[in-house]
Amino acid sequence: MKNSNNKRPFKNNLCIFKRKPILSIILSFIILLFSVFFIKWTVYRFSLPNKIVYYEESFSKDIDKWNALDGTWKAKDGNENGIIQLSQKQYATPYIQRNLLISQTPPQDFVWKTRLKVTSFTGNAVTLGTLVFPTGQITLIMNANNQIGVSYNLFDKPVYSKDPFSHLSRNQWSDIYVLVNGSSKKIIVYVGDNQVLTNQFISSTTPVQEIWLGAIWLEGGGRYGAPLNISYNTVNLGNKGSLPKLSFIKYTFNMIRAVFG
Amino acid sequence: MKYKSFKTLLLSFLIVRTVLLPLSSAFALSQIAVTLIKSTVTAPLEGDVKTVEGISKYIVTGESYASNIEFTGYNSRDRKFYTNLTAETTKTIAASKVATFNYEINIFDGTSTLLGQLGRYATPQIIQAAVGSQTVQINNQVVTLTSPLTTQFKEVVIIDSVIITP
Repeated sequence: MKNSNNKRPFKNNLCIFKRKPILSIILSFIILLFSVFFIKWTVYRFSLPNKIVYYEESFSKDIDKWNALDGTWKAKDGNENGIIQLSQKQYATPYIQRNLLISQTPPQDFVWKTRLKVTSFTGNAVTLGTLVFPTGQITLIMNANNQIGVSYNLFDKPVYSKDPFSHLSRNQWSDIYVLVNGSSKKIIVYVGDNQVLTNQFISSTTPVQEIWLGAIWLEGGGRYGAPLNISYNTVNLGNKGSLPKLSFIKYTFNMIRAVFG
Repeated sequence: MKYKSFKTLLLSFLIVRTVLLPLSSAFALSQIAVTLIKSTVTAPLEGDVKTVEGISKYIVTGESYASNIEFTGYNSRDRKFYTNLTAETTKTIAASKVATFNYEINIFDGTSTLLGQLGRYATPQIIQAAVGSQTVQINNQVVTLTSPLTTQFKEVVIIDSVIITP
């Protein structure tokens, strides 16, 4: 009697399939799903290439190599070393801009990373940064609801992400990545490690001729305003290895979100 | 943003009196209407009608002016300034007649330094209204600026003359 009592809990655990079939099916499905996610995540982590940086600017010393309108270089801003702050003073469109040498331009598939802090701007939206190609441009924008979006022309209707994670926190340093996939004619925008927007981009993506940070447009299709206080810490162009590496939890979360919307 | 204030009215009349009237009296057949708007870029601009008339030698009396001036866009990269407006005249245009407007668009910074212009008095922009019409919509006017757009700017549209044909 005592012996059988000792064995029962073990036996019961094994018999869960018999005793609670629906629960057990759900349970095994979840375990299966997670194993699939885990395998996919492992493949994802191993398939990420090593980071290559084609061009990088961290504003550590000054902005002498850039053309600037109402741009101020600062040695420090909180924990950030070397920033450039744009704020409208004399000019309607504060920006910094530079031309790239052909040796600095990435291949047609690359990642454009910008580290920035948006505090305030005028108008319904603002242009945060632009890459100029010979036959087009990609302009990263943000609206007054803090949603991130893209536009390719001054008078185009801008495309904003509807993703709840696309909201950029004001007055906080954030990383925005744009995966420019010239070979498959699309771009993917990430805010931190959240993928927030995928959009078509049919123009050629090489070579990158100019980088702009700040107001390249006013009014137009997005009713763009100008930076009153927007700061930049880094801008770089690298390969896919520059994208944030997702943890298993984040990866799984994204997969579930992708499935269930 | 409509400027109906007395101050703006006064300012525009001042500019007209000091700068444009002497100019216009030099060319007796011309008539000048000025629309003055002044704004920062925080909101789209919309001009209000400010007009002067009075070159008495003109055979068809009536005022001509620009209205509904709208700042539609600016591109830092090529310094192109985009604007829409309407040219209007109160001159009588008979059903078979056509009004042709000669006009110029000037963009000034906050200190009235010229940033760019489209059309001049000697070589104005020209647009024809529809037969029998007193107004014509002028869209997609592009003024290329010679220096970057400043925070404070003015867009001044001058209707140099209106010719009625045939």
